[in-house]
Amino acid sequence: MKIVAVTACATGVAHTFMAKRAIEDAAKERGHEVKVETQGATGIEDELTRKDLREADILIIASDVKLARTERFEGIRKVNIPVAAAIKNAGSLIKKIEEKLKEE
Amino acid sequence: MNESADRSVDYYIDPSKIFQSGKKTEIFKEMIDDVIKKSAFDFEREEVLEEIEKRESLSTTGFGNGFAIPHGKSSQIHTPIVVLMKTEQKLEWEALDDQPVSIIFLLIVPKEKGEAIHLKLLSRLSYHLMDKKIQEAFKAAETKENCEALLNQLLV
Repeated sequence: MKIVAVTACATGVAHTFMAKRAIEDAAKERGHEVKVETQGATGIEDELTRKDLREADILIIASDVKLARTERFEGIRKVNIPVAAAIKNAGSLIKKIEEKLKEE
Repeated sequence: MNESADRSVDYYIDPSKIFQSGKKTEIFKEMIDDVIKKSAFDFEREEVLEEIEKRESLSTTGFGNGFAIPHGKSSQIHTPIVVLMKTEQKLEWEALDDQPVSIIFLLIVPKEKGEAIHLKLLSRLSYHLMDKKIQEAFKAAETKENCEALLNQLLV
């Protein structure tokens, strides 16, 4: 599965990047391809390209704030979660996504 | 203490801190007071404290496994300060995993604009702190030198 994600938190310094790492680790551990864009205090990093988004099976939005450039995400399957949920439960989130996508 | 002119991040490290109070607000005060009293860093406590508490009230900065990463801004510093304190005490932090906290990374960030490099360093630190191996290394680090070496690995 190819997973893409966007993370963002209130200050944009710490949790944005912790969530990125948590999602990357959890996805890789379960054998998925993953790319995580951060929208932090330094702006957008590791920006998701059109190609990334086209190829993605799922987009995880782990954010506590209003995101920039959301027009890119239209028409893509997504799950919205608070940034803390990604830090805490990235593993079970990925499992849940696997199950959901398998059902269809 | 732990100061270096050409580094883009300053440190204040106390590997065996004993807090007078277990209350978060008091802990923040103590940490900031230590930094101001025992180092050459000079800034106003109240501004930073207010920022840190504002951030903490949004959601807990205790991210699990005994670690917390509170943060706030000061308009009186030009280089971010990473304050690392380890304690034997088990501090209640309402952490994500409901476990008490004993390793605190307090980030004091300059308020001024144009600090992109500093922010990048701090984001890198946050990113690496999710790594279980790095968490174990910080748990095992007993001296200021050990802690500093670990921070350098992550930040330089």
